[in-house]
Amino acid sequence: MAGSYILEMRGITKVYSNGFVANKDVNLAVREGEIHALVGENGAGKSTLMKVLFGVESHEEGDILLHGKPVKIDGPISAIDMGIGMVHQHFMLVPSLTVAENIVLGREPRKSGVLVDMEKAIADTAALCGKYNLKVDPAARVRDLPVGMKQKVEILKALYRQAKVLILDEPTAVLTPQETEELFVELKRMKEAGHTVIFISHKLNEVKELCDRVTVLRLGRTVGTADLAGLTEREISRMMVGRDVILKIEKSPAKPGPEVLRVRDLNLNAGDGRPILRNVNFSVRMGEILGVAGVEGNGQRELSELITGLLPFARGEIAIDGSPIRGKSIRQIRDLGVSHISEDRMTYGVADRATVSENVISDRFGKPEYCTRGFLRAKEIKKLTSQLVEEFHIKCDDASAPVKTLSGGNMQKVVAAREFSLGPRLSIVNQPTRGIDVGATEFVRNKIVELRDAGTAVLLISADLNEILELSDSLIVMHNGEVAAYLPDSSQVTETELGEYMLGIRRQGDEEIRRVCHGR
Amino acid sequence: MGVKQIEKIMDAAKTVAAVLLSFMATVLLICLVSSTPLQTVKDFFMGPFQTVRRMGNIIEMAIPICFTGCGICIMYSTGHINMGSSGYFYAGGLAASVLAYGVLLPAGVHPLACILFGGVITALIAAIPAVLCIQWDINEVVSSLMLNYIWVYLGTWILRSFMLDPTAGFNASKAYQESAMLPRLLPGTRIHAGLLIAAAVIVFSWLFLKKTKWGYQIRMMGVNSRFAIYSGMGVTGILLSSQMLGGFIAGIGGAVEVLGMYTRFEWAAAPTTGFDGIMVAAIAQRNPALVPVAALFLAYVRVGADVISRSSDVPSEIVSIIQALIIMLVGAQMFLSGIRHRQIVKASVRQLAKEGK
Repeated sequence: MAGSYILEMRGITKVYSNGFVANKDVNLAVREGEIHALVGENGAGKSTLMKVLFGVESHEEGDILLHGKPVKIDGPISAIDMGIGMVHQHFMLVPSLTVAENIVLGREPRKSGVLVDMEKAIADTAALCGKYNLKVDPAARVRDLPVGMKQKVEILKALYRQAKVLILDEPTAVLTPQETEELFVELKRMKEAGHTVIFISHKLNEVKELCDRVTVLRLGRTVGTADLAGLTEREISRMMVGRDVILKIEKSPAKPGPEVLRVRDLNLNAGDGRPILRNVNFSVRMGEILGVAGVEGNGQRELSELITGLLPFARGEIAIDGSPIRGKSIRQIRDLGVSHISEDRMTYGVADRATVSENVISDRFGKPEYCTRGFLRAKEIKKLTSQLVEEFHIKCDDASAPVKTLSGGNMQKVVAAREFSLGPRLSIVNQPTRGIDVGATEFVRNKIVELRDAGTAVLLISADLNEILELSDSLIVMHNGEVAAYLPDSSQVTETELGEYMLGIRRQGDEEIRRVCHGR
Repeated sequence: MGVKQIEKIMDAAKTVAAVLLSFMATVLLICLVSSTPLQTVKDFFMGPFQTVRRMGNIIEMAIPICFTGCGICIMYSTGHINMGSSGYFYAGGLAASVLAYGVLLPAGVHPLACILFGGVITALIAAIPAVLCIQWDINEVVSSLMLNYIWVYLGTWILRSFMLDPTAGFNASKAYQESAMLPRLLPGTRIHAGLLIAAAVIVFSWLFLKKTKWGYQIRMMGVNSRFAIYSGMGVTGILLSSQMLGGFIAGIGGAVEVLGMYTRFEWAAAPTTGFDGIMVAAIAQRNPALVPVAALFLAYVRVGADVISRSSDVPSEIVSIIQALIIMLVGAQMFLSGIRHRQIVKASVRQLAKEGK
């Protein structure tokens, strides 16, 4: 019965300009006043489908129906006018403006028709906060807010624009377990107030707890829609993955060797004097994976950029195999055997218009194997590329395919192929599986373990708690630029415990934390 | 057909379509302006090939553009836009002239010395915008563009103060030594030995950009400079050396032009060759191997315009309109992008069907 649906998407096909088919004949039907889960592995096409719905991307085929009537959504403005609101995974807020200013941006209340009525904006915001019981200070600057608060601002922004259908794109990815629970309470309240919510996630326990019905996508297609009441997590996961797998990494206990990376009393301030890293101390030994857990933006990015030389040196000491990296160039640091998977694949990891070959040789093109008298040795480079393409299961036409024609997972494999294949002493691995499909995730994770077993010291930074707990041998938690805890055995750690350290509710004593330096 | 092939074909198709469209516009313009449209259209397209002299003109005109075009290809491959080629071309010609009349050397060595000197001086000049960019983050587009004025007026001052030949009857330097001038290659035309140097420069530029580790670093920096930094490449060094090399090539272009086509230095302003190089590099998509094709095409259109300006009532300014149209259409990223996108969609859907999904 089509009439009961507030929103329908029928036969949506979306092909990107690089030839990637992100959605093929996808169907989605959402009932009024429900919380509808859209699940699927990374790369299944969830975000693309929602971008089509919100008018950010145009689709090749298919119809969108609102209240049973076909509509044409040609941009976010028309989507908003139709009562569709979206909370993006990466927040779209102006950091230097206040909460109220962000919320009314583009629809400011006017004083005598011209001037922005800030008082009314603040009052409106406060009223909105009260109505939905979202606690945010309307006068606070967005840049000073923690991630969970920013998300509330995004939700308020959509509500201020009279959104009836609210899309949340992986809202819990950046939240701690405690913040997630708070969000769920708020979403349920919105549902009671008559709003419809589309909740994108690949965390099944959350879906089960929060949502009424679920639509599952796999490889850009609809697998099906079902009532959650009758489903087990296991059944949903089988729909998602197409087989019975929960990512489990085969891993023997670590056999740590001597210290490779030594970080002592590391301090870094932002341009405005705000501290980003404070007295960070730790060591990573040969053949172990040290995980760095923490809500994003607590200094992890800066930490990895300092160690790899991307950021100019701060106060403190960083040494690799005993040689300090102060004053060394990125080239010299790489020559010490440091490899780096950046969290930002498109900015640092790849040159998108360059070929697969050109991307895998960027750290070694000058070595005599690949270069004689200034000329690159095409044959050797081709050999290396086909060897890496095979070893890392990179799906591409051939070595001369531009990297931008590859899917996210295959791009990340190109990065991993380069960074893992020189036998590094130390590997800084930052968000290695963000935004890539399940197969590639499994592959990259296993490669990291392989690397460790070959004796590399691995520093693993990830916002994915599962990944941190599965992969690392021991871990530290970053909060507010500080190491808040050292947990020597990852397998003994629970998500709740981790969440408390991440939020700063708990903090270990200095003595306890100091153990991560292994007495040195 | 894969996505890669479609992109290649569509790139070529875009260029061909742009040329055809602009030619159609040309014909239309001629028909509007001329009282003898058929004859004029014929003269425009066929005229350049009707005499050996005119064919010679095409090649003479293309030679200097090949130099500036290759220089620009190298400079632009870093992703930094340098607008200084017109000043570099001028400076190269002026510097070479000083040696061309001022010293006596054996015939084979003399032009080479002049050309090298012109190139080295220009390379130093071309370093300035790069240094300004590295040291103070000054936008290269602006600084190089403004520096053009400085080089041309500084050059004019040098010409008038130190190089002037009062007996010449106009603002020109003393006459070049016989030994400095580049020999003519083909009787009946003014095609000179600079053609061989241009060929060598084209081959060098292509090899350098596409086959050496330095060219590789330049291109990677151009695609994604942060990727280059992250991989451990020294981007400031790459930027500086590529701008100097590009300037060197543009500079020897200016030197070759004065020694091949003139008997004394007489440029009162910078020739358009510098900006022609930018156009040609854009059409050639920064590939030195395509630079001669684009340069010959540009020269052909210009000679055709010359022909009709003499033989008909259509002014040669028409050619500027044609040029502008071609460059705009070739440069337009979105031109034909609809067709391209549909082709890619079709290919991808076919691919899916073939894989049986």
